[in-house]
Amino acid sequence: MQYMDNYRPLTLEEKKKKDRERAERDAEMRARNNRMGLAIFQGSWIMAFVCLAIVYLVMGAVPGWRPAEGHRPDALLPTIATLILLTSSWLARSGWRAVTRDDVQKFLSQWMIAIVLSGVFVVIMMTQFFAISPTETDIQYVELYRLMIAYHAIHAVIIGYMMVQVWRYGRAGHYHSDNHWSVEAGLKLQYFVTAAWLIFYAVLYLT
Amino acid sequence: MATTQHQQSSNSATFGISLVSIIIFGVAMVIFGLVIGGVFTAKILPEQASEQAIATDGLFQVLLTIGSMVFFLVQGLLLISVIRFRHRPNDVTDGPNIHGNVTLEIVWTIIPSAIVVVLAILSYVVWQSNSAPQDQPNFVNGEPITINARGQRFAWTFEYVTNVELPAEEAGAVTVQNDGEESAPEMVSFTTNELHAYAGQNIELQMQTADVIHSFWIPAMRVKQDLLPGKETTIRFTPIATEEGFPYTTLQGPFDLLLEENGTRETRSFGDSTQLIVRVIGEESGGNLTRVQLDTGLQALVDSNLIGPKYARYRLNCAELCGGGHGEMYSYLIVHPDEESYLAAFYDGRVDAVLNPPADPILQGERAITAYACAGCHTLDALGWSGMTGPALNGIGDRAGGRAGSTGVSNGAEYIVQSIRHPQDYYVPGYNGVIMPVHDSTDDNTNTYMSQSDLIGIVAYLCSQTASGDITDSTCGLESWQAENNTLTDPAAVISELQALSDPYQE
Amino acid sequence: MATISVPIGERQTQSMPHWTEYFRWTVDHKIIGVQYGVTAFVFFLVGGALAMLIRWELLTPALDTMASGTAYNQLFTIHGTIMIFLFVIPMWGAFGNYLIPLQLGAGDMAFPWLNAFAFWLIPPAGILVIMGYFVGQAEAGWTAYPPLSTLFSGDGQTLWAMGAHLLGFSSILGSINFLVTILNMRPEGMSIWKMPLFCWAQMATSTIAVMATPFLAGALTLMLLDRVGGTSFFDATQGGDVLLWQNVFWFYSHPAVYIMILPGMGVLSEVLSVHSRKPIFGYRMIGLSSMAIAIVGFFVWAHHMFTSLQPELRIPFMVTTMIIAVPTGIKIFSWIGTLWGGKIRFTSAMLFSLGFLSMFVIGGISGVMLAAIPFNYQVHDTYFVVSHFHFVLFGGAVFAIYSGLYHWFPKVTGRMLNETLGRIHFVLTYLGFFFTFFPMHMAGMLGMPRRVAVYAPELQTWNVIISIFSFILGISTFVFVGNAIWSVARGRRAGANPWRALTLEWATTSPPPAWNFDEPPIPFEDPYGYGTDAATAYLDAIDRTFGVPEPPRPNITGGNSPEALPSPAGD
Repeated sequence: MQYMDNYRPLTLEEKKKKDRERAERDAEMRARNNRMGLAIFQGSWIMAFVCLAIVYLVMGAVPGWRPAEGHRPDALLPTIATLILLTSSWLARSGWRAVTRDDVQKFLSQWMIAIVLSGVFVVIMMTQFFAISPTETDIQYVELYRLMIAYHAIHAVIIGYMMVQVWRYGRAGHYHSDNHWSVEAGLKLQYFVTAAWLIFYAVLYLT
Repeated sequence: MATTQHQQSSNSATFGISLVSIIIFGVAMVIFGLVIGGVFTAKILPEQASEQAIATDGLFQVLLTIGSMVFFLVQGLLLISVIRFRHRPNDVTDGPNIHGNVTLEIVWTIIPSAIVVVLAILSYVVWQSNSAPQDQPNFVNGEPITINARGQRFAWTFEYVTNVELPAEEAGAVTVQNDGEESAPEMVSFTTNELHAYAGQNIELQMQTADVIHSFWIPAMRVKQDLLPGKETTIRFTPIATEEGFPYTTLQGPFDLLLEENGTRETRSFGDSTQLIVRVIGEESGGNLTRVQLDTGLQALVDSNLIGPKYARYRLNCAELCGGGHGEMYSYLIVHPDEESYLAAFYDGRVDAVLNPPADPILQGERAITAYACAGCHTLDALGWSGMTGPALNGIGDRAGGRAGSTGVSNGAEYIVQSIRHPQDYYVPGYNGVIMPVHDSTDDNTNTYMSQSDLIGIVAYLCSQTASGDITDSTCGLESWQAENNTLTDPAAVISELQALSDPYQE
Repeated sequence: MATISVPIGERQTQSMPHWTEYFRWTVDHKIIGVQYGVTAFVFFLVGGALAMLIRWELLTPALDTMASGTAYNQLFTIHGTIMIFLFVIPMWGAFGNYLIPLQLGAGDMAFPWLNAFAFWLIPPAGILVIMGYFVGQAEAGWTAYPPLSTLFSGDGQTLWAMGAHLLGFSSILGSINFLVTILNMRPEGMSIWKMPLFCWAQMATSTIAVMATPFLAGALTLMLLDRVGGTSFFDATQGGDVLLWQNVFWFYSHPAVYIMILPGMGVLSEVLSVHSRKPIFGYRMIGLSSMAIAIVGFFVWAHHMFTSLQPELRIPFMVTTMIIAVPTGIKIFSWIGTLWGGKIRFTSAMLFSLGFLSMFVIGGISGVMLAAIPFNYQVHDTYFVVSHFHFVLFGGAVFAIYSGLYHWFPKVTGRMLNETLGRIHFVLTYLGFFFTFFPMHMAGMLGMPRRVAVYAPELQTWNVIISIFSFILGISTFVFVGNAIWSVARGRRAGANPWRALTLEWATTSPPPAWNFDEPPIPFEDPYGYGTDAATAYLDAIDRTFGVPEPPRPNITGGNSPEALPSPAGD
């Protein structure tokens, strides 16, 4: 039972206090908004990958659609690439944790390796893109296979570019334990790249 | 607090409603539903011309009855509310603070759920019985035949693979020899632009499309199925005799029609080759004359002796957008009263034409042309075509000679050959951006394959299409094109002349 | 008694932003909302003009007005695309943008920049779609089924797909914004169960949009590759599968129907309660049924494919489709429960909401009929379907849009719309709509396929009736346009809270200042708690703080009748 007189004229002292509280609340809300917005975007856009994965599974259910055993792409290099990507994510994560502890040097080195590994992943998958060539019977399969790899690579490259930007800002000393949202966002987008790839990896090489 | 208000007021949520008024409203609702369902089901659906239609309409009557009750319930409550609870002038109070009523909310969740469960079960039962394979599908003369329906932008063709064996010497020419295996005997097959059946025949169509998705729909049969590229789909239905009976007949020329238009009567004569489909209304003048209705809606009188075998006729639509001529992609289902008339009026004649092909290339062409999807885009009154996507073929025999000059070919017949084999070589003014497929003669597995012999017949037939009906008016420019009694005097010469003309176009 | 929280003090009237503000990049959610709304309405007029051409062509059973069947196909393709992607969905974006922060007492959306970006994707997308006319417009219908759309349709189809891609992306970004704002930025004291139902509806809608729209993106990517990239995902002659498109497309596009109707249901929940001066009946059931529709809506897509799907897969989709009638029914009965016992004021906003109720129920009934597979075989892809979805999308969404426009126009502009013109608009729209679309049921059942310019001559009578009333419906739009233009300049001053509504958007000046609220507003304990002393006191306090509406001026406004003035609910 409180009477909330929020429209009462305020004294200067009260006003300052109120403004300060408001600024704090706003900053806190912005941080919450950013996290939630990014999470929803990830949950949403991963659906595009799920869509392509389902397309692959539906078409793959038709007998004779996939190439015969001997002609299917070798899973060895993609598996190595997947492990590299996982390592990259893990390193990016430890880089972000270093920033939260104000260990900027460690962040820069970890983050750099993560970017390089991500680049290695893209290069390996590009070789896979060209390694397979369509024959008379599996033209559909090859088209979809290439589409999925390329579609993922586009995301990996764009997000890799964002991570490079984060690294450059980090080197300029922008990030510390109180300001690391951009690093966190970069990390989460790298998670997104990894999760999207794991979906593709599972349907392309394990089914 | 809010909760106490809620409980107090929920008792008064039904204020002003007595049991009597609920009962009156409920009875009115049921009566309304039954009346609407009973009266309108038959009126807003087309003729019930198949066994499937009877079951479907029964389901629709249930849906309409329940739907009308829901309609009455909602609109009635709405009307009562806005009249009874309208705002009165000078009343400045708010309505009662009622937030809901759990009992009511449960009721209006459970009752609709129960209704849709019942409807789902009922629909399933009807669906099951309508789409299940039937006994004795496509039986003719006690044996099954195969009917393939083919959709092509923008026409339907129906291929009948009969149960009559093709004589060995003819079959050998086309039978593909499988290594060592004994191939099944080749059957007589023919193709039509209209689908024929007889009342009580269980029809089962195997459907393929040549290009895009089409959808086979006969409103009077209540059936629909898409034709999907790369797949074969099946549709089943059983036409029956309806109350309307079999009102249509084909008038075979020559005959005179006494046309009635805006109160005036006018006699119009029709030539030898005319076939006119009319709907018989009844006999007049003591049975000498019969009143008929044309497709245009005009009524006319005709000599009763000219009325041939009668049949029922139902429009057959394409229901899936397939391009510019989608609306013109329709045909008809012809239902003959019984198997004898089906055999006499349709089947036996077609089989006979395959077994004993006519020597006259015009007659050959008239048969052959219906195997192709020309009807969808071209208008040709003699065959009942009304397509608008391509140039009209009425009187093509008069124009062909003139066109030959503008395209640089030797004569009118060659112009027609060129138009079929290489449609993109010359565009009729106003029909640029041609979508007619190239009919080549190389690969008989392609959708647009046309054999040389079919081509020759079709060209001869089109050359004979003159406005006057007299085939000697043709401007095709063939030397051997001589006629007596409107029939070619030397068919073999025409064929060989056309053969020579069209050989260069063979690929 | 309940806590009484009242704002006190005097506030000055605000004026609308300078008109040039509306043509610039801005991050003010209110300006963006108006930008969305006006853009969408302009596209509504374009799409409506195309519809008039369609009806003109259908006056006769032969092809006459249009040069060719292809030109006719382009008409309805672009009509459908504009109405769905460029009118209804952005229009709900307009309402969401303008109202969500205000209803939540927030200063702006969670991501103002993203909000502006999402809007500015729409005009280029619209231009792309219309540009198709210069390169061979799309002619495969708004559903763009391959192989017609991939192997035959003109290059406009490529632009169409790119435009739809942009619009889908815009829709995703807008929806992320809505969701974060709704979930994160509610004021103290407003739990999710005390949120206005419009926000509930937008939450359900946005959930659908973020989950389903990526599937549209996937499908359009495949289509674009087929058209320009040389692939053959939908070309059966190369081993492609045409049903693939139908499945993926409808997996987005059926939920998209709910994207178009759920916010309308939210508008209805607001308007019916306010204008009958009675709390909404069954708040939780209405909110939850929105979510139920959103979720079940993901499992009904294949009912668009009853004539093409493998037969054994058809039955499950019939069952789910029928189930979705239940939450819809809950809403309709709850709204009638809201009306029952109220003090119904026949304002234009209320009339359109009542119109929605009576028309939408017909769309619901024909929806259940369509779900019954044997009957579906008869009416699938016919005018029955055309009628059904216009009852849902015009009788539903457009009526709700009009209702919302009459209801919130005073908040946006600070002036009331003319009530007399509003009633004329309603009567013309209601009758024009009903007699345009109801006879289409009959035409469809009797054998008229949809998307045809040439039809059986015996159906001409029905089509002439339909066309005549459709022209009346077309004309009725201009009554509204005239009313809006006149009222923006000369309408009666609305005051902060002309309808005496309890939701927070009314607890600030009309139009609100750029920062929305001078102080964080205090929500009333129940957004629909009409009929209590506490509510009356709260509303009186708002009136005292922000001023009351200008009384009607019959001699100037052209006859606003006294009862149209929302009389005070208390005192």
